[in-house]
Parts: sequence; structure tokens; C-alpha cells
Amino acid sequence: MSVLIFIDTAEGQIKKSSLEAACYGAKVAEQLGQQANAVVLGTTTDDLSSLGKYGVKKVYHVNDEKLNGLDAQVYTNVIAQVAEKAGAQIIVFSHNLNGKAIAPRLSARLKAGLVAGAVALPDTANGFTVRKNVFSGKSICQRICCNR
Amino acid sequence: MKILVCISKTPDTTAKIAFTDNNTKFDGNGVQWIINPYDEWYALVRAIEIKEKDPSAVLHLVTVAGADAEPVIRKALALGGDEAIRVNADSTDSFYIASQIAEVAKAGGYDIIFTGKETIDYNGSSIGGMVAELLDMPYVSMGAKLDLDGTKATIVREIEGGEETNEVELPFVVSAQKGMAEQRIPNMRGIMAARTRPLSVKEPVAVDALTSVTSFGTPPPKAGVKLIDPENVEELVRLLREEAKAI
Repeated sequence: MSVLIFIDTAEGQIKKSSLEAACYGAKVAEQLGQQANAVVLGTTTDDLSSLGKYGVKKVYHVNDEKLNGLDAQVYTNVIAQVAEKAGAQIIVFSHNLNGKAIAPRLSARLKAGLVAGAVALPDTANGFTVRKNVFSGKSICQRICCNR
Repeated sequence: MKILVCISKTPDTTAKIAFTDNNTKFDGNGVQWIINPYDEWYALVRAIEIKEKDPSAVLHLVTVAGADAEPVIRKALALGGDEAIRVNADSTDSFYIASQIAEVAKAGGYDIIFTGKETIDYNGSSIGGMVAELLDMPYVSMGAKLDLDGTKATIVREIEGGEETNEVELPFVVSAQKGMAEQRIPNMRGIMAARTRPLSVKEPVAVDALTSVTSFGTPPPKAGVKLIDPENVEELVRLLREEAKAI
């Protein structure tokens, strides 16, 4: 069992929002007593071992230049395979444009509950309940995930 | 060509947001319901433009909602569309809703499926991607421009710090945002015609929801602005470190 964090890159460099996702994923993993792993797709110029500073223990790097541009269908295939290999129970994405393109597809592929735009660490005492903003920020809701 | 536009009913942007049943359900009493703006202004209008250019195109609308959504779907039909399908179910789970839309889409054999980039109630941005996955179709998110040329579409989508141009073969799913089209107001002819356009009701297929809402609440009030004397840098650093936890 592990937490898998998708590390988004632009022109080979890790996006700052992915570092936030890495921290979040590492904290969720710590809460659950699991390992935080990361997945990086495409060629990179950044030192991926630097993700260790944010709590990531292992990086799955699919170092193929065909993955340098986003194709949500292809990314979903690859991340689903990595998730299977890593025994991922929870997958964390940045709530950015690429995350919004990939996470729903992956959710449907894995039949895993999706909470888009989590704003707090989950409550894992009884299942997996996480808070998100709704009604364009006028309200918050607690959403519970039933799967994965 | 067959086009399907996903329509969602959302509270008006000025609606007061309140909850019932011990803060577990949205209180729809007295709420003015509208078509989700991204579905209406961008997805539906662009689909209508395609149909205007190619009158042989068939334009269907789909919504997953209870009977109280019918005035909203009639309004959408008044803008344009040959017929509407309402899947008689109410859910806040994206996967459940996407599965219902995918079933309708499979039966209809559509070439283009439009969604708005998100709904303004649950802000999920997830239906388009899920529908595409369930139908094994390509998906272009956050489309700001779409041009069709035969069986190929060129879609400009927003990316961080710029835009990206994608070419995609039919069939595909696209989520629409600002730039895709200009908002239209239904005319009297459209309103009258919408009354007689078919609106069929389908019962939902059995799908397990993957998430559920346990409670709603209001965001914590924003803290007031604290003004620090420019000479008092130590206090500024202390507040940034201890209260804002920014450093």
C-alpha cells in the first residue's frame, strides 16, 4: 500500500505546484503509515532525487520523450500501470490544468473516487474524508471516498 | 454528424447558499436555477454554431437530474438543440453522473460530446474526462476554440502560461471554456419551438457512486488585515512565521 504523487513537469522542470502535491501526498502517507512514491513522465532536466526533501521515498520515472507533451489518454494508461506496480491506494495530483485533464480519466479507469480540489489533509480515522470548496468558494463540503 | 451537449442545472450565481438536514443537503428552497454557465455560454452555443454551419448535424442535450431540472433543459432547447434526454437521477458523485452520460452517449453514437469546463456548484472539472475514459475517446480539456474540418477538429486549449493547439479526429470529448463561443439569449421563436421539442426521460443504469458528501459548511471568515509599522520588521517576521506560517 502506498500513496502515489503525480509530478507534473514543464520543459523538463518540476512544476512548483507538484512540490505542494508531493508535500501533501507525503503527509497523507505519513498519516496512513504508508510510503509516498512519485511518478514522473517524460524527460527531465531537474534532479528527481530532490523530491526526497518533500517526503517522497521512491520515484517512478518513465523516461520517454514521447511523454513530454500531455496526452491524457496515454498518461492515464501509464499512471494506471505505475499505480498498480506501486500498490497505490491514493493518488495525488495538483489541481492544475493537467491534473484536471488526467485525474478524472484515471479515476474512471481505476474506479477510484475523485475529490477535485482538496483544501485540507484528509480525516482518515473512519474511511477517507476530505474537504473541498464548492459553490465557487461560497461553501465547503466534506466528501468521503468509498474506493481505492 | 451527431453532437451531444451535457447540461447541468446549477443555482444562480447570486443565490444564497444554505443547507438542510443537519448540513448534509443543499437547500434548494427559493433558489433560482440556471443552466451551468460554462455548459450554456460555451459548450451549447458552440454546438449550435456547428449545427448552423451544417444543418444536417443532429444536436442532442443530456442532463442527469430530477424532474425539477426540466425548465432548465427547456431553456437550453430554446437556445438550440433537436431533442433532450433527462436521466432521472440525482447525485453529487462525478463518476455516477459520467456513467449515466456515457450510457446515453453509447446508445446515440455521437461524434462530439461537449461539456462545460466545470459546474459552478461542485466545481469538479471531472465529467468530460470521465465520460471520455468510459467511452475510450480522446478528451481535450479547457477548449477555448474549436474548428472543424471534415472528420478532424483543431482545438486550442488553455495551458499554464499559454495555450496549446491540438488536432483530434472524431469522435472526441471536449470541455469548453471562455473563448469557445459568445453567450446567446433565446429568442421568442426558439422559446416557442422548445415547447414541442422531444424531452425524453430515461431511468439511470445501476452504478455505484464512488464518493458521497458527508456535510456542508461555510468557509472560515477571512482574518482582517494587520498593518505593521515599516520600522517594526521583527514583528512582521514574527507574524509571518507564527501566524501566517509563511516562512
